[in-house]
Amino acid sequence: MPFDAITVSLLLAAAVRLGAPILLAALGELVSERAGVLNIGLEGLMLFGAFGAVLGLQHSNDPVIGLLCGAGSGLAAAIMLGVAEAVLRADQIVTGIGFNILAVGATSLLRQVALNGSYNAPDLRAISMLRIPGLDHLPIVGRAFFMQSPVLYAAVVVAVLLWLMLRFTRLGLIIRAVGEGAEAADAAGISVTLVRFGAMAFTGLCAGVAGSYLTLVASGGVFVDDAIGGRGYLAVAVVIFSRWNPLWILLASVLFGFADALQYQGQEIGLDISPSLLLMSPFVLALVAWVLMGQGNAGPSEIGQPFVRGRK
Amino acid sequence: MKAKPFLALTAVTKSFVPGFPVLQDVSLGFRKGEVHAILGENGAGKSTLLNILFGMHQADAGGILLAGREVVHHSPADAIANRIGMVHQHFKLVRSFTVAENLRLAAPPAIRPSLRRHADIARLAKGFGLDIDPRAVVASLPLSMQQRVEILKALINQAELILFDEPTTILNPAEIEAFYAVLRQIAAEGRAVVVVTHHLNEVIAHAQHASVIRRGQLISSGPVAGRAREDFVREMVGHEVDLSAPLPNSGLGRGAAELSLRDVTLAPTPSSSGLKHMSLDVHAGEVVGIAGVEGNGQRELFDIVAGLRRPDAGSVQARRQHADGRPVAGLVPEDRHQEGLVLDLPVSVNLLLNKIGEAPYARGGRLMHGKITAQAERMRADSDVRARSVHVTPRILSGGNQQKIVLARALNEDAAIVVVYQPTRGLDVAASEEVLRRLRAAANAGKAVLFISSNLDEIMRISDRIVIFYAGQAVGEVGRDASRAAVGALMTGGAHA
Repeated sequence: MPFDAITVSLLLAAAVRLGAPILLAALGELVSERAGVLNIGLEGLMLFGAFGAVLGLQHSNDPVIGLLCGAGSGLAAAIMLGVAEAVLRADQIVTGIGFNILAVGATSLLRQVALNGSYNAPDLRAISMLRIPGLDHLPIVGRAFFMQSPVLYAAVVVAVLLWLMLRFTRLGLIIRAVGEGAEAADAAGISVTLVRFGAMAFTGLCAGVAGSYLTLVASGGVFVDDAIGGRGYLAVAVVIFSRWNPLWILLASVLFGFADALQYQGQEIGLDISPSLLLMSPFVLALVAWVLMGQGNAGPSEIGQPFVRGRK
Repeated sequence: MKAKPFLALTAVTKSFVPGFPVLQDVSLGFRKGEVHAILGENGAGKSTLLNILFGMHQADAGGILLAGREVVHHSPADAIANRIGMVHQHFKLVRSFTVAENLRLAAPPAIRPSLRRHADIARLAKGFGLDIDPRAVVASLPLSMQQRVEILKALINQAELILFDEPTTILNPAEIEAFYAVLRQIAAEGRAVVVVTHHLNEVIAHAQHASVIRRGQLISSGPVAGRAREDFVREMVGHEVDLSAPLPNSGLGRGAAELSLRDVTLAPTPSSSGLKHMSLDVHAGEVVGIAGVEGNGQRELFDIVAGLRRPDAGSVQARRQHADGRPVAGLVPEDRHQEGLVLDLPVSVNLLLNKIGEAPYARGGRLMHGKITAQAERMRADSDVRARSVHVTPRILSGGNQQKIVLARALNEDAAIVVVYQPTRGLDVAASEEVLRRLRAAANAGKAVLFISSNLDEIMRISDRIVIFYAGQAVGEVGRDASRAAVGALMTGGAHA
């Protein structure tokens, strides 16, 4: 088995690169969940983001504008979902799953109507690669951590900021209160609806960027139907796996990215495992995470429960 | 002529179901510097009144005058902005947060900087006479300490009118005294204090003004001084009731021991003393009252008899036991909403929850709804549970009716042992009487009743024997005719009477 430094370095780089969209989406999901919303619609939000990014790219030929369009699409889709779940207090799981199915159908239809199938993407390096001079030539870790998309670096910064925000700021206190004891937050004069809506909007923004990353950075500007392929669900699992802590999400995302990378590179590095089994590996990890959710009480206690004032 | 009210309600009417007003034409004024008690039975409309004041509900007709100016409270935020604070009966605390985090959450911007350090919070709390550890997680605190956090929340919010919804039901006598000392201080500092309660003794001892509400209507409102206790009771209930007479036992003496605990030991926790070599027998035909300041092992005793926890050492013997050795016992747990009922399942299922898996209510894994409904209807009629039908959920019922369901189920258990923990907590005079009467009747009919409560009056009225808990041990036992003072001395760790 050729386990030399270069193979390890390539595998690690792929893990980080494929971990990035999961990281972004999971950070967004984290905020929703800490505010008490189990945002299952993450997959659909990412899909709208992925589609919006390619649409923006095709019309502007500028990857940065594509990325912004992707983020905007995620946000717009999240506003729809937020109206249903936070404002109208619909069942979060049913609405989320329905939304994901809608997203697959809608983006597939829109692709045929609005996207140019023979479009040649311009140079996407503006958002796909930023070398950190001096560090990018380090053995093994150089390629993995210092030759990545600027979007990834931004995501790492966001993770740290979220950690600080949740732990040390009033906004963090309010978000946690809404997720842990909505009645108490309400009694303190905080609008539970507004906080949850805002959290879901943030999730949409993050998911939009995550979807954009998948099409613009990871697939060279091409949108295919169901481009997310379950990574939204993986991100939900990552949040649980990480015990709702942004810093653990950083690590868990790389772990899930690694599982994802094995699908493509498992054979190259000579793993004697059936490719279909490797294809399954991230989802097996996710399953473990979902099972863990049933144990312990680390999660926000109001998760998944619509808030209705005065319900004893 | 007295000062003008700081806040007044003008002809407030509210109904949740059209045609059935919960409040009808109620006009009231609250003055600064005064403790104003609102008395009434459960379901009289007291809580609705507070909820309207605090913006949780809006009145159908009538309004709120704040210092003579009409205000509308669409939400608690509006009420807080108008300097109104509320200490809810069911605490509005984030249970997984620390005390400090809960206070910071509720604090207005001007106060927040002073809550940054734990030491400052502790000092602030002490200043109000409310000692508390700011680092403690709320869920780990006993209810009396959780209430302190609620009171502190209102105090740091600089409210000029503070509403208390049934604040003393979970406090022991010493804590109640301390609580009213705090209220007096709050009022003396120029705030208006409103206490909704049905504990008459407290009203007479501590309130300056009292208003009585019955079935949504204001019966009276005036100074407390010079009024007799019986007056209030009659106004609240609508007829005469004697609240001090002991409940008669059967006079037949007790039967065989149904439950025996020997040398039971459980490790202490930060909020409780645990149990230390505690031995206790409960016989058929008697009520054994457990008196003590909360946190002295009562919770552990209930948990052990209920089979929720196993003792670290010692034995628990019951005449009838489950296969795994737990006693078979009818249970009335402390928290109706969390432990006593499944609030969103029908009354019928709740009444038969302990038997729902066995014949005749289930056969071959299938629920026999006809049998369940028929039996539940019988139990509902016997227990006088006032619900439209057994198919409604307990969530929509009053506390008294909810407790009747729990009690009916406990008495329907195929065992002589009945264990109750704070069975009248949050219930009004009539409902409390009903609960006590039923428990006494059950004992007189041969049940062995273990009565754990922090309400000493109740314990003294219903019990044949009173066992006093202190620091996890049974430090004394007295009969029905013991004096309150003797029991009180033992409760606080005094020498044997």
